Amino acid sequence: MISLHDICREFQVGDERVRALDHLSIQIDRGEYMSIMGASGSGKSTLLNILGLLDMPSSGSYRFEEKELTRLDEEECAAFRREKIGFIFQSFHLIPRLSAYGNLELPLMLKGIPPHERREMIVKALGDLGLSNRANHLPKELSGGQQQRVAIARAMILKPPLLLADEPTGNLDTHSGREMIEILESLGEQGVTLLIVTHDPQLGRRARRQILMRDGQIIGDTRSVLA
Amino acid sequence: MRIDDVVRFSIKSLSAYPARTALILLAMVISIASVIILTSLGEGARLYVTGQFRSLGSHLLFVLPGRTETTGGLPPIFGTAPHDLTIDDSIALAHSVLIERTAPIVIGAADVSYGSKEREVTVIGSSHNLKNVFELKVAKGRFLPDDDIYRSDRVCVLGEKLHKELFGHRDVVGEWVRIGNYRFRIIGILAPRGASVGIDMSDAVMIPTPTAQMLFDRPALFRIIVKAKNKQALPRAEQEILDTIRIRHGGEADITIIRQDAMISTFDNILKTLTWAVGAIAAISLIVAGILIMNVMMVAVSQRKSEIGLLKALGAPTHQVMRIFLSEALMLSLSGGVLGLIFGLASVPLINYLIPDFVLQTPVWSIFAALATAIATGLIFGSIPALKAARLNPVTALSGK
Ligand SMILES: Nc1ncnc2c1ncn2[C@@H]1O[C@H](COP(=O)(O)OP(=O)(O)O)[C@@H](O)[C@H]1O
Ligand SMILES: [Mg+2]
Repeated sequence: MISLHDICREFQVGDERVRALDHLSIQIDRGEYMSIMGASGSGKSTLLNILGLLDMPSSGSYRFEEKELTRLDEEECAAFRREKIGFIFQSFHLIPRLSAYGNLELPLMLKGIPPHERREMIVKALGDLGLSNRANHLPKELSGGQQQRVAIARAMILKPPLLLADEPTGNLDTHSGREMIEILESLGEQGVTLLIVTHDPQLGRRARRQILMRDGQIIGDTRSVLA
Repeated sequence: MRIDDVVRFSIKSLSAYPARTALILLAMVISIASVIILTSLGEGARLYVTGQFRSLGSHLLFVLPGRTETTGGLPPIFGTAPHDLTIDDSIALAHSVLIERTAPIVIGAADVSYGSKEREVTVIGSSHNLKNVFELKVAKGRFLPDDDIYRSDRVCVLGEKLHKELFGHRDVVGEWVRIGNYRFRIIGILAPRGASVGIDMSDAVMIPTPTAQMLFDRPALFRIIVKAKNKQALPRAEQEILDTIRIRHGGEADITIIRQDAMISTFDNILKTLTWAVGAIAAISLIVAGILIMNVMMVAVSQRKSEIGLLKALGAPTHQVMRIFLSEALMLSLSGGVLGLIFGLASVPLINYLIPDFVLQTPVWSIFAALATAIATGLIFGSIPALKAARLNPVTALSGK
C-alpha cells in the first residue's frame, strides 16, 4: 500500500541543516500492524508526518496505492488526509470548548456531511468506544484515557485505511496505555493499517512488525529479518 | 464545510471568550449607532433647510441689481450697478403674462422703540404683494396697503416675535411706534410661522417701499421678488425679465436672477454632502473597532494554533481554515453592526422626543451604508488574522510552538 523510496527531510536550523530523515526507504502492506521505536530525535514523528502528508519530504518518492503523493498540491493533500488518514496524538488534541460529540463532529463537518446523517455515525462511534454516556462532556470533564478514546473515535469515524499514532500512550498511565493499545489492535483486526510510534518496548513488541530508527534511518526492521 | 456548520462553529468559538466578544461588540455598536445618529442629524438638517426654503413660497425669482460673471454664483457684494432697480422696474416686470406679481424689497436696520423699550430691528420696505409672494399670514389688522405703491405712508406691520417682545400679548393695532426718527402707526401683526431662511419675518417690521427709501435715504431697491405664474413659466419668465430690464436700463440687463429652486438644490447639495461627511467621520470610528477585531483575532489565532493544526490534520484545506476565522470576524462585525443599527434607530425617535424643535430623520441609504461598512470592517480586518491562521504549518501548529 505504501512505498517510501530514498526519502530525505532536512530542516534549516540557524546556519545548520538538520537531516531528520536520511535516505529512508520502506514498504508497508495493507492491514499491517507496525510499531516504530527509537530514541528521541531519531525522526519518528517526521516519518509519521510525511506519511500523513502533514509534511513534505525534501527529496525522495512517496507512493500510496500506486499514486505518487510528493507532487500533490495543498488542496489535494488536505483531501488525502480527510479520506485516507486517521491521526492520533500524544496530547489528544481535542478542542476544549467542544463536547465529545462536538469533537467527533469535526471530521464529518469538514467532509460536508449533513447534520441529520452525522448523528447516527457519532452515536455509533461513541458507543463502540464505550463513551455513550459521555457525549455531552467537555474534554476537561473526561479522564486521560477517555479523552484519548474520543480522539480515536474522531480519527476513525470516517473509516480511513491508515491510522497514524504518535506516542498515543505517552500521556497515559500504564493501565490506560495498555487499554489504548488494545483498542488500536482491535481496529487493526478490522483491517486498518496501524503505525504506532512508542517509547514503551513492551507495547512496541506487541506489533507484528517492529521498526527501530536512529538518526533518520531505519536500523532495524523485523520484517527484513524474517524475510 | 457547510455554511451553517461554519457559522455554528464560529458562534461556539466566540462564546468561549465572552468578555472579549462583548468588548468588540460594544465598539461596533458605538460606531454603527453613531453613523446612524449623525447621518440622521444631517438629513434632518437638510430637510429642515429645504423645507424652510419651500415655505418661502412657490416658483419665485429673486432679481438683484448688478451682474455676476459666473451664472449661479453669488451677486456682487462690492461695485455698484450702473442702474438701480426701482419701483418702476418692479411694476414693469409685473406686466408680463408669465408673472403673477412682483414685490420690491428695501432692507435696512433701524431702532424701533415703544415706551422705554428700544431695539434695533430689520426693517423691510415692500408692497402689499409681499404678503402673497412669501405666503405671509396676518394675525391682527391688515398687511401693507395695496392702493398706491408710491405712497409713503407711515404705517407698519410687526412680525410676531417683535410684537411679543415689545408689547407682550396686547393688541396694539392702531397704536404708534417709533422707527428711526419717525412715528409709525401699527396696522397689522403677522401670524407666527416657523423660522424662515434668509430674512426672519417674525423679527422684522414691514413698511411701504417709498417710506423705507426715505427712512434709509436710499432710492435703490435691494431686490425685486418675482412670483411666476407657475413652475413651467420660470425659464421664460427669467428671459423676459432680462429683456424688460435691458430695455429699461439702456440696453444692458445689469441684473442677476436667482431661482428659488436653484437655491434649494444648492442647499440640498451642501447638506447632502455634509450628511455624507458626518457619516464618514462616524465611520472612521469603525476603523478603531476594526483594529480591535484584528487584534483580538490575532491573539485568538496564536492561542488556537494547535486547534488549527488539528483542523488541518483532519483534512481542512487552507481556504477552509481561512473561512472559519473570517466567519468569526464577520460574525463579530455583523452582529455588532445589527445591534448598533437597532440602537441607533431606537435613539433617533428618543432624541426627537427629547429635543422636539429639530427633527432627526434617518436616510435609508445610511442603514445600508452602515451595514455594508460593518461587513467590510469584518472582512478587511478579519482577513489578516485569517490568512495568518490558514498559512500556519500544520506540524508546528500541532506542536503548539
Ligand atoms: N520543524 C523542525 N525544525 C527543525 N528541526 C526539526 C523540526 N522537526 C524536527 N526537527 C529535527 O528533526 C529531528 C527528528 O525529529 P522528530 O522526528 O521529531 O524525532 P522523534 O519524533 O523521533 O523524537 C530532530 O533532530 C529534530 O530536532
Ligand atoms: Mg516525536
